[in-house]
Amino acid sequence: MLRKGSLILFISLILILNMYAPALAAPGIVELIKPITDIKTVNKNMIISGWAKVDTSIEVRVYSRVAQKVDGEEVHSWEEYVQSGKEAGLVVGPTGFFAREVELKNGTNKVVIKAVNPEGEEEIIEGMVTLSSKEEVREAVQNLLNFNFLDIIKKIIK
Amino acid sequence: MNKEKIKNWILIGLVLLSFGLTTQLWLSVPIDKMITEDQAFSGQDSKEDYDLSSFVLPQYIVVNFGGQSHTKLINDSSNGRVFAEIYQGVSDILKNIFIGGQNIAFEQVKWEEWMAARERKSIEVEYRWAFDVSIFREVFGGGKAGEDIPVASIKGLIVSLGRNGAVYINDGAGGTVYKWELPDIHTLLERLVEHLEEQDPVKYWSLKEIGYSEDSSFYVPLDMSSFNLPIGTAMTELDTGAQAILDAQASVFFSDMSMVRKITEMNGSYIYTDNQSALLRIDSSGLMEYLVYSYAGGDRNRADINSAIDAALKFINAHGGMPEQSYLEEIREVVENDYRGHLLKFNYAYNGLPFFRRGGLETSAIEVTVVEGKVVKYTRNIHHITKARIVQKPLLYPVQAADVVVEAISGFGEEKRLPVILDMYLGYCIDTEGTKEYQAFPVWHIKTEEGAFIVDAYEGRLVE
Repeated sequence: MLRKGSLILFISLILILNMYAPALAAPGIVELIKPITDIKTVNKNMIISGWAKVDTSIEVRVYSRVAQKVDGEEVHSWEEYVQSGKEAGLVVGPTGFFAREVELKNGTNKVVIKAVNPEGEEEIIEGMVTLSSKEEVREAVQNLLNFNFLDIIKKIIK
Repeated sequence: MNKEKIKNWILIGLVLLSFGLTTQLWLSVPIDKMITEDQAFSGQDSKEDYDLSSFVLPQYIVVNFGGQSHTKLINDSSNGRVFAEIYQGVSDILKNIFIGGQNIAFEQVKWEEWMAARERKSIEVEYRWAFDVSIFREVFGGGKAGEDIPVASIKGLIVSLGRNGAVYINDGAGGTVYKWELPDIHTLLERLVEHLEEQDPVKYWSLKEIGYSEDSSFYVPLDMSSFNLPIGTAMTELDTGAQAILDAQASVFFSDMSMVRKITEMNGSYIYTDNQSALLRIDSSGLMEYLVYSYAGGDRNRADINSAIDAALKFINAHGGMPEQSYLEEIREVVENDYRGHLLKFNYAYNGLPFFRRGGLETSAIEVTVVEGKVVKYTRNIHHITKARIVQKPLLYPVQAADVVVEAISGFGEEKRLPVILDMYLGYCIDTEGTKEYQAFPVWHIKTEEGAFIVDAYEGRLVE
C-alpha cells in the first residue's frame, strides 16, 4: 500500500514538474520581438530587435549560403555577409531595448545573434531568412494562377 | 607725325577713357547699392521677391515602397533633387485640386484608410504645421480658387500610387482625413518612386516596425553609417562688437534717426528708441527684438492670414532678408493688446536639417507678429555656418539616443522605463555658449510625453 502510494506520489510529482517546466526554466538572455523562424521576405533590410538585461553585449551577424563544386558535387557552406559600415556589436542600454538593421543577400541567409549578459552567460540564437526578389515572387504567383487545377482533377478521375 | 605726338594722343585717349569709366561708375551704380545692406546683415540670401511657395515646404517626404519598406527624404544635398522632383509631382496634383474646384469630389474616410495607404506604394508629404487651407489656395490655386474644398487645414497628405490611386489629405485642424480618387495613374511619380527604389536608399522604420512601441506615425533610420554630418562653426549674423554696423541696422527700423536715443545696458545690449513709436533691442548674442508701441494705424481690411504673410515677408525683406534654406515653421492667431493678429515663425536649415538653439528650443530664428497688416513685433536670431569639419564617427542610433533621454528623466535608483516618443528626427544645435564662434553639431530632437529633448548625435550627451 505504502509502495503504491509512493509510486503515485512520485509519478504525480513528475507530472507537476513537467507542467511547470517552461516556467521554471531559466529565461533566455535575449527576447526577440519577432523570432527568426524560417522567414521569407522580399525586403532586403531586416530589423533584429528585442529586450535584454542592461549591459548585455549583443552581436548580430548574417551568413549567406554559397554553393561550391567539390569533386563534381555541389556543396553548400555559409559565408559571412559583412554589413558594410554597420557595427556587428552593441551593448544594451538602460531601457533594455535594442534594435539593429541587417542587410540580407538574395537566397538563404542565416542570422546569428550572440548575446553575453553581464554575468558572462552566453546565448546564441540562429534563424533562417530567405530573401526573394519581387520578380521571383511575382513569377511564383503567376505560376500558381496559371496552374490548371481542373485538368489535374479530371486526370485523377479518369 | 613724330613719336612725341603719338604719345600725347595716347595719353589724351587714356585720360578721356578713365573720365568716361569713372562717370559710368558714379552715375550708373546708385549710392544705396554701393553701401550695401550686407554691412549690417552679412551672408544672408539677398533674394528680394519672396514667393510664398518657397517657404511653405514639406518637413519631409516619405516614400513607401510597399510593406515595411520606406525611405524619408529631406531637402539636403544628397536627396534635394529627387525631393524637388517628387514634390513637383505632388504640387501638380495639389494644383489640380485647388484649380479643379467643383469637379473634385472629396470623401471623408477613416484614419485606418490613411494608415493602410502608407502600407502600399505611396508618397507621404508632411508639413511642419497644419497650415490653413487658404495658404495652399494661395500657393497652388492662385488665390480664390477651390473655395468649396471641405478641408480647413493641411498637415500632411498621401498620394497612393498604382491603379487605384488616390490622394488622402490629413486635415490637422479637424483631425479628419479626406480622400480624392485620382482619375489617372500618375506616371511621373510612379517612375520617380521606381527609380528611387532601384537606388536602394536608406531605409526608415516606424517604432511599431522596430518593436519599440505601437506608434507608426513617424520613421527613424537604423543604418547610421549612411549619414555623414559635419560639425560646424557658427557666427551670429550681426557683429555686435561693431558699433557702426549696429547703428546702420537700427537706422533701417526708424525713419528719423535724429529722434532716436541709444542706451547701452550693463549686459552689453543696446536699445534704440524714439520714445514714441518703437523700440529696438540688440543683445550681445546677436538677438534682435523690435517692438512697436502703438498698434493703431493698421488696415482692418488686411487682417486675414495671407495678408499677414504678405506683410511679414515684406517686412523681413526690408529688415535683414531671409536666410538660406528658410521655411515657415508655424502660423497661429494671437491676440496682442486686444488686437487679433497672426504670429509667424520662420526657421532655417543646414543641409536640410533644422536648426535649434541651446536655451531657445521654443523660439524660431525669425518671429513676426502682424496685426491688421502691420508688423508690431519682430525678433531675429540668425547664425551662419562659416566652417565645417567631417567627423569620422558614426552617429548615435535612435535607440541609444532614447537611452540618453531615459537616463535624464529617471531619478536615481528608479526603474528605467521607455519614454513615450511622439516624434524623433535629426537636426543641428547651435551652442551659443562662448564668444563669437559657436559650435553647430548634429543632434537628435526627441519629443516625448515628458517634453522635448536634444541629444548630441555624436557624443551621446543630453544637450537640453
